[in-house]
Amino acid sequence: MAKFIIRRFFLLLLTMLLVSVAVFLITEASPGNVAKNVLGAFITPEQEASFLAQMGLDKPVHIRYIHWLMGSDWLADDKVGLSLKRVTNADGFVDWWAVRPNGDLVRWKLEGEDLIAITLPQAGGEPVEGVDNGRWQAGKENTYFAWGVDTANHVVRWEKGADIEVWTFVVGTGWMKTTGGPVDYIPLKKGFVRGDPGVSLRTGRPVADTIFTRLRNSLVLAGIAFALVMPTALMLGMIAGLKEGSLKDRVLSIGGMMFSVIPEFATGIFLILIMAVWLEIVPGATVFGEKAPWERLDMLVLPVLTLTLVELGYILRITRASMVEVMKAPYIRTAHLKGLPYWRIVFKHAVRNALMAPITVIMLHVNWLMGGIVIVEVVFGYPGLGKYLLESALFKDINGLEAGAMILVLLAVGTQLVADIIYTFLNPRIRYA
Amino acid sequence: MSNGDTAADSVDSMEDIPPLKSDRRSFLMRLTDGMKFMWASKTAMVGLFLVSFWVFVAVFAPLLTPYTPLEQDWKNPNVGPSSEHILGTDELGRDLWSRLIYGARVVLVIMPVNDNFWIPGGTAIWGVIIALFVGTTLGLISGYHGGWVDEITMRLLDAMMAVPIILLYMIIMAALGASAINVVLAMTIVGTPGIARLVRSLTLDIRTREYIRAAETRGESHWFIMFVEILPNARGPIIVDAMLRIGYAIFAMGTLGFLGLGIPPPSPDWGSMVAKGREFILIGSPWAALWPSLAIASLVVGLNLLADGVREESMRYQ
Repeated sequence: MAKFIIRRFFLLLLTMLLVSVAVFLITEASPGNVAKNVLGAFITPEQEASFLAQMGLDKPVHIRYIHWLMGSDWLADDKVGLSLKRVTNADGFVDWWAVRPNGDLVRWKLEGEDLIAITLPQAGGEPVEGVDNGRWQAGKENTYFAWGVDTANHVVRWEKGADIEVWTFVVGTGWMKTTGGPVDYIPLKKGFVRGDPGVSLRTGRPVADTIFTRLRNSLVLAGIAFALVMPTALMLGMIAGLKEGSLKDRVLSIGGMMFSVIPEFATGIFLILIMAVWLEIVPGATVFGEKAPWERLDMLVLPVLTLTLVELGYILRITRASMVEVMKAPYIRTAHLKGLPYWRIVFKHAVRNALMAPITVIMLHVNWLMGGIVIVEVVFGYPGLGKYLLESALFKDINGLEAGAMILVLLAVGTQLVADIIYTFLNPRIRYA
Repeated sequence: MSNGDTAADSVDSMEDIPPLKSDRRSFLMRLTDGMKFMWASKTAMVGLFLVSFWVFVAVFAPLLTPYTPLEQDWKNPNVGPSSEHILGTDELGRDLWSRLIYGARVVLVIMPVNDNFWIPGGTAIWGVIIALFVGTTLGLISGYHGGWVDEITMRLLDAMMAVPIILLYMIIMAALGASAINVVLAMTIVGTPGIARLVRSLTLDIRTREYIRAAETRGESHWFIMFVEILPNARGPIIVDAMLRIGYAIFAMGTLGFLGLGIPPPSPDWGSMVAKGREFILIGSPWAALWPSLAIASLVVGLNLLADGVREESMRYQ
């Protein structure tokens, strides 16, 4: 069993790796232009090139993938010659600094021909600026260059006398053109495997800040729906399966089929029209603002109901089929012949075996459920992970997309593993090697 | 509806392929037999009626409406049903009935390739056909050859099946851009693993039969054995699976359209009509979202009722 779990765990990691490579390559091959998405359609080619260089997007795809996966600071500290450190400043922003041997933090900027070091003493206090021309190294053909950490979280290479014009986009101010910019950028990040999914190109904020709130919202939605679906579907499925072919059975199974095959967006529209527009009981869209979903329960009603109806039909049908099969089994007939009361046969003998199939199938169904959640979130404007993922995909926001994709794969493959483990407990005949 | 569960059912029904005798009767006799068979099941009849309704309006769409789906009536945007527009108009004053039936056309009858060129066969239908072709080929090859070919193909397909379907759709469509051909491509990529697994399991069974041994002894090529000897004998479960997949393809097409990843506007597409109409529900004009939702719901329910009814009736005859 332990061997089985370990092997499946490595398969999970392998799947995540494959998916992350695929997402990277596919996004790479896609026709959109992320610079235009971020900055608007009217940027000049120089502005675009400058932006791409600063974001590290001009590098070849395998370099960018490695930076995304494992970070770039360990590559960059060789160039600077000092180790690099990530600190969160008083305003909550992430800053990268180089660490001097005495523990002082330092960054640099270029003014004319002079390299200025901005030193933050280890003891604390205000940063001190001073000329630091000792870092210039001789390059080819009488040029001088220096590697250093700049003030916008890149490791950069400055070249003496190279009069590079740089366009910087500052939110709220617009474009700023400066001279004396660096010739090479390595944007600093820790990398996905070290817990830093990077900064979203779409929102300009760290992906990790947004995505966990979004994941929480989605889990709240799915959790409530799940808690409603499970008992209802299992019960209705059993009722339908006990008397195969009866009117109750036909109504329940055809109804269940209808709800499970109608696309979620259509179910959602019908519910909005009936409950919000016609009966005016609950709001037809979700607007949470800063609030958490559970603080506005009235807005949760329709999304949860949509998800519930769609899932209900599917699980109901599986439970029904499994119940029908069990009720035909010889051991049930034996129990009847022994003269056991009907309800005792159903609850004591049939139900246990009949629930085995639905419980495993439900876990395997998570893959399908995710599709439903994405649609429901779009229908009701619910701020969940699915909507975040869709927006990132449409924007070509690779960091947001990768992080969301990894969470989805982890959930999908992880629940399958859990389902397999649960199954061994429910059905002791199964052994995994 | 998930990829795996149809496969298991179908393998069991392998032995139910009707005897060859029925093939010799005339086409007309077989058709009337089929109709009688359907008539016996009420659910199948309801399903048949819904599906034929949509096929009919899709085929004859240009004759059933005085408007084109793109014609804008600026004076009457977002109005309800009237004698002029029987289902009302959308936010640009386009006739909803005409957009609805031209939308059915795109799903069931034609596939737009570019602005002035289309090929027969609906987008959803092509999605199933191409997925069937690719999946069947992969399944046959890996089932018949076995060994490392089988191992590599199946592990890759397993990895693909582990990825959430919606994620696959989003990434593929965001990467390729929205167009009917790319919708078909996305459906192919998503549908292939399930079909390949089904065909592989059928092939593994069939290749042990005597007539395959005979063909090998005759010196037939691998391709001949795969496509002429094995495939026709595996057709029963594959056809049943394909029928279910058409319903799923329509579902998927609507979902993609709704997410803005389907056939691009202004072309009529049920999913994108709902997505656009949704914005106007809460300000008092529900029609643009209601009709396409009803349309897609009735079509997929019809297809499933038909499939269910047929399955039930065929079980009764056993």
